[in-house]
Amino acid sequence: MITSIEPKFGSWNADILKAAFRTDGRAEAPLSVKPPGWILLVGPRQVNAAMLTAIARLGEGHAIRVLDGGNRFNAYVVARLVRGRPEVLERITVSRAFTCYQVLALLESTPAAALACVVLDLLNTFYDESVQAGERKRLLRACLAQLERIGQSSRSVVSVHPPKVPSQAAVEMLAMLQAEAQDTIFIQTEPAAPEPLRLF
Amino acid sequence: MGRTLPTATIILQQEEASFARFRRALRRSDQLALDDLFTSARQHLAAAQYASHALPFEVFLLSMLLEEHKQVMRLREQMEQLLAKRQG
Repeated sequence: MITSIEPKFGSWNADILKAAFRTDGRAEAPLSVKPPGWILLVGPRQVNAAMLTAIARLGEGHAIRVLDGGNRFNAYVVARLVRGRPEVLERITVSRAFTCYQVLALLESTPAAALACVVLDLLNTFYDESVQAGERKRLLRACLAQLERIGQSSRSVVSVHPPKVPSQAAVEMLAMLQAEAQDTIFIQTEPAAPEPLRLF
Repeated sequence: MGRTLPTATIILQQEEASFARFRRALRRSDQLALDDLFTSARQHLAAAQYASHALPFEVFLLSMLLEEHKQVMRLREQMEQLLAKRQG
């Protein structure tokens, strides 16, 4: 459960997204993120559950495009959240990428339509050290240009999770994203409460 | 590349695990009956996978119902045979 969202820069966007990413949040909130530009959400992997809830709530009222960079979109979870209503599920379009090259190709092939656009775990494939750091940064720069293009007409939110193994390249890539984002929001989750003692 | 969605087998295991506390609170005889229901759902995993339903638990429930209905049909047939034997 997300307990607090601390924006790096206080702005109206942070308040809107704060409401949107509560599990009981209303559907309308993230769509108030107005183009041009896109919002960057930085948080641990547990945030993904709230992202899926937000996507489901958004799908109830609007068409939404999900670009999944880290295999984070669980369609069964979203289907359960919308109680399997096909008219809602049909409004959610999902595209996945499994390498950083595919992420760029995916963004390039995404039309700049006036839909809400959510990019899940953008940096996941960019943490892959089998691709040289310079090459990854070059691809990320190209991705940022594409995000800017998409953000011209779409209301866009990009989520990023920290890498399992911290690295200098990861820090630099996060800084690149922050520099281009309209606003950056750091999400903190409260540590899990200890399991209550069982009586039997 | 990994799987984009969990398989029907994994989902059934997750669903079964999510009912662990419910099962724990049941009587032993009811626990065995619940286990039988999940076993009957497991018999139709291939069909559930093929169905690719948005809500897989609905398919599992239908699988349980299917097995129950098969049992009812078997019992009905046996009852009719017994009645026929008794009358004839």
